[in-house]
Amino acid sequence: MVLLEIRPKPVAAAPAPVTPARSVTVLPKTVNDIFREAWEHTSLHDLASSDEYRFLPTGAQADKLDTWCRMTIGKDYLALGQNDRERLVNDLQDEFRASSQIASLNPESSRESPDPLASVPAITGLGEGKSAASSQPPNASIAKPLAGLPTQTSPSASPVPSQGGQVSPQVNGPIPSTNPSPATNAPAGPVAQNAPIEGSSTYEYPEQQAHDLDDLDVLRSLHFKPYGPPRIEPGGVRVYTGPSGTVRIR
Amino acid sequence: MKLRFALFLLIFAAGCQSAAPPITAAPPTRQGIFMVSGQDKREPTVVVSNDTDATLHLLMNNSEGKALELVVQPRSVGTLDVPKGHYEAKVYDDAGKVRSSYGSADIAEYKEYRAEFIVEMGGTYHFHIGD
Repeated sequence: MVLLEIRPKPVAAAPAPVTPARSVTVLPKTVNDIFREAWEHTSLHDLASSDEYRFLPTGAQADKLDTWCRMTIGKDYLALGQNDRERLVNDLQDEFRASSQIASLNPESSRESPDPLASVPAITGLGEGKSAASSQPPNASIAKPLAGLPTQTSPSASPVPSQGGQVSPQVNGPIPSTNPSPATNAPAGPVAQNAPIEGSSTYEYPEQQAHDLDDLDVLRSLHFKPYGPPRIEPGGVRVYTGPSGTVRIR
Repeated sequence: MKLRFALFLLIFAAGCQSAAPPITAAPPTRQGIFMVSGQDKREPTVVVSNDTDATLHLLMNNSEGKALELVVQPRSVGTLDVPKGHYEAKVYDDAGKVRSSYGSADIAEYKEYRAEFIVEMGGTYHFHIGD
């Protein structure tokens, strides 16, 4: 025997009422918005802390940051105007420069290369050009040509005008190495002042902390070896004099 | 005779109706840094000739911000197929020793965009790539 059951016919769900689409106005991101977003990217800090970036001249650092922005936050970055792009890059550069000077105990990390824009060669392409003889060093490789060809300039292009290159006909030239090596930029004063004794340490022993020490062996463990016998001052203060300074121990 | 002539016309007309490839024999035209010429392939091609001692990168961001990159070793030629559209372009040196060049590009189908790069001292220049 088969039981039949009567069920109510399922009713198709009523279609949702169609609501008119709301017009949402999306405000363009500001330079500060994009700056904050960029600052959250680990890869940006990796770049800024790399030797590849730190030892570049200022102009080349800005170029690196511009490239990073194009590759990582390209849509927002390229939506900015030319001046805003330049401002964003400069802000990032300033921030990294400031944080580097604060965070680093090593004077080498805050070295700045002189602005090399005038001496850095530019990538040029076959085709267009304008003479840049006024800024060319005497031994520069100069591409001549196409001086008579019209120059096409896009108003939306070239976010960092100061980084621009020159397009000119093909003239093969060597790439002068204008990137100064870190060694040549090292400020002589601080480095010499903090020079380690016997080349064993870069740690400059702070004189104030010497009050907590009572044994010259501690000093020696810090590689302040050349200290001679102490001079006893009134009050029993032992004064050790060495190449890196004077340490007083009560 | 009429039949032969009609047959000839038919064959001739059929030959004329065969799919003709895009004109490729036209001389290249200069657009920005690129020499633009026709090609049989529909997808546009960007060709970069690097006559420098540096490794050059051609970075092209489309209108959506997506980045396409072509790395061209020193003294070599690199090729990149790109969808048509508007691009923001940058050419930079891998080592940061050479100042970069910037521009925009309108890339069209059935076109090849060829550029040759050298290194030159000094100067500031903006270029426009493409149509």
